[in-house]
Amino acid sequence: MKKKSSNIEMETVFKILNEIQSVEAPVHLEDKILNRINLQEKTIPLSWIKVAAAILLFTISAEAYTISNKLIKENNNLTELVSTPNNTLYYE
Amino acid sequence: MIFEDIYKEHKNLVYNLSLQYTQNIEEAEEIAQDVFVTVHQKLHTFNNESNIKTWIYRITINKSLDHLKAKKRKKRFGFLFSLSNEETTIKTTISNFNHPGIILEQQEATAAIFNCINQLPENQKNAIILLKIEHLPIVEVAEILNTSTKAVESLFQRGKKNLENLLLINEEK
Repeated sequence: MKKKSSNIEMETVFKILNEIQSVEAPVHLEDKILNRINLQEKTIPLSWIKVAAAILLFTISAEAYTISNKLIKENNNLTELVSTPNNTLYYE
Repeated sequence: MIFEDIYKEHKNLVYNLSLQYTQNIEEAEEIAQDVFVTVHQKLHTFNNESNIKTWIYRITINKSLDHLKAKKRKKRFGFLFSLSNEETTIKTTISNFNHPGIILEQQEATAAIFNCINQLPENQKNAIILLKIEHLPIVEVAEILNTSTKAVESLFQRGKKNLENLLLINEEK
């Protein structure tokens, strides 16, 4: 008996849902969508920004590596030119 | 396939389906915008062998569910924030029932039903909305949900049972 009454209730529920009417989409919706699409086309994609950042980072680090190598080399050449004094005492 | 034609043919489908998930005009509009922007972006990847209507149904369902999840997260965060700082009042986005497809006399009863539908698990909610509000045949629902007709029937039966229980609990309150 209880089951029958709850079944009737569910029939009413689905009847109410069945009566929901379809509505027209607002007219301004199309303009809003087209604006968003245009805006997206104008902006640079994030993937491109990431690629550009990676290239820039690579160039800077490569440059830093080359400069540091060059400085070390120059430093070595300088030490070769300067004679190292010998301060040790010795007897002939 | 031209985007303008796709929009004209499916705008009402997308808008109405979004309304069934959100029951709010502004939110449904927002979802419809997201759906068509995605359609425009992914149109070149669409496989012509499958039905475009099914594809658009799937995008709309996913966008609607994502929107509801984001709204839930926002609400939860707002609640936690208000607990930590009692003086600050935060305007949480309370869902205002605003469904233009429902006649005035049915507003209260339909709002109560939707309140329970919204508490159902996602797949059961999908089955009830597509079968009972969108009036789609079970074969089409199975195609949209990417499952078998038997599974859809089972989802619907479980959803119906859970909805009944939720309505009874709400009635007792």
